[in-house]
Amino acid sequence: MKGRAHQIIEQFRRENGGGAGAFRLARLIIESGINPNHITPELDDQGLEERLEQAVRAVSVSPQSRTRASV
Amino acid sequence: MGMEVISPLVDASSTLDSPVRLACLAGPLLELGPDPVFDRAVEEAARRTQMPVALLSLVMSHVQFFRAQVGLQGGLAQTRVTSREDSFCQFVVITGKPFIVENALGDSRVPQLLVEHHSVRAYAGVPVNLGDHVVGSLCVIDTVPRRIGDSMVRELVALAREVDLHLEQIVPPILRPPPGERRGTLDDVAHLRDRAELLLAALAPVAAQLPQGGPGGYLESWIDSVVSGDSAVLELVALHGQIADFCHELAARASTLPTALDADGALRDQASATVRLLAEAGAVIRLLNAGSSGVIDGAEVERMINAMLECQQLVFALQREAERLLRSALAVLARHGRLT
Repeated sequence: MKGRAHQIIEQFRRENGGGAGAFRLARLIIESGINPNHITPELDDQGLEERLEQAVRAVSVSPQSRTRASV
Repeated sequence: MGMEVISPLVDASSTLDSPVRLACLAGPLLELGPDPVFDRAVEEAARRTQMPVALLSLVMSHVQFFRAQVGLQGGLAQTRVTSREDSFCQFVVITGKPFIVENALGDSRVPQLLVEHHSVRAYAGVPVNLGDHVVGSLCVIDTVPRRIGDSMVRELVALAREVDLHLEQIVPPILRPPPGERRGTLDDVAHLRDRAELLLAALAPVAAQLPQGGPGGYLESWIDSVVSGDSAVLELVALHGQIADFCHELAARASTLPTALDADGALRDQASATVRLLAEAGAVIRLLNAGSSGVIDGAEVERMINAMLECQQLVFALQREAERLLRSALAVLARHGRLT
């Protein structure tokens, strides 16, 4: 749907402010493989939207489930 | 043994920051797990010199990482990292010779942070080499001034030679493909270009978020964040893991490129550099994460500040390396008439 990907990114930015939000946005970019700078309100790409939604779900899982030894 | 005098003619930065030297610091060198040879070296160093602390320190571009240690206490034992500029071991790397401090208090040759915060008084470090490069130091430390004789230095040198031999055995030629592996193509170069762009996009919000300048309002809020264990640090830990995997994939891909595409090895070297920087960032983030878990108490907040600033510098360095990788990939693609 036209504009859907843009909407997802904007909503993600709104809901993820501050220090943790910036790191979460970076995780979203790496997880999805999608550069938000390339997403315009005119974009209409269902595959990309689905990838983005999947990535949003993945990074929204609390990182506390990861072990501290993972660094 | 007399005091080692560091010649002002020695170009410290070019030695410490030599890309070839830093490229040695990868793979098994930076693992956290036990290693029987490294562990024995530090145990024997402490025993033979009667010093309470012995370290195998790898001196990286921003930090020193203790690959093996005995005698460290508290947060240092867990994080195993300090800022390079606060280290004594940097002088072993710069000079390529043993570095001796019999009473560090007020000794103008050495940084005073570890002297003040960890009561370092006596230090003896000898070079640890990989090939032609000094990668770090095998050192012993005491919290009281000590006379350090030639025999003690000879013991350390002998143990360091064993470490050198072990390094030769465990460190493979860095990220080079074994013979017969598939050879990369222009598609792989285009992939590197896309991944470098993506890495830059991911790093932009991170760079904007890390503390700017020196101690100030933002930095204080970061310290509060770390000490209170808020999710920013955990997000940073998670992000680090993701980017590390991402950069390993980059480096593996770059390593397959034939010389026809990567004649001077720039793509391979730049991709490898991202892996190395990520490994180094891991050491710093470990320190931040230990702080957020309460292992480091409030008195060590200065170390936390330094870790945050180191983290920021590493993000900037990673950005620069990703930009170089992007430019190199674009140049290769342009040379082969592939501009989109």
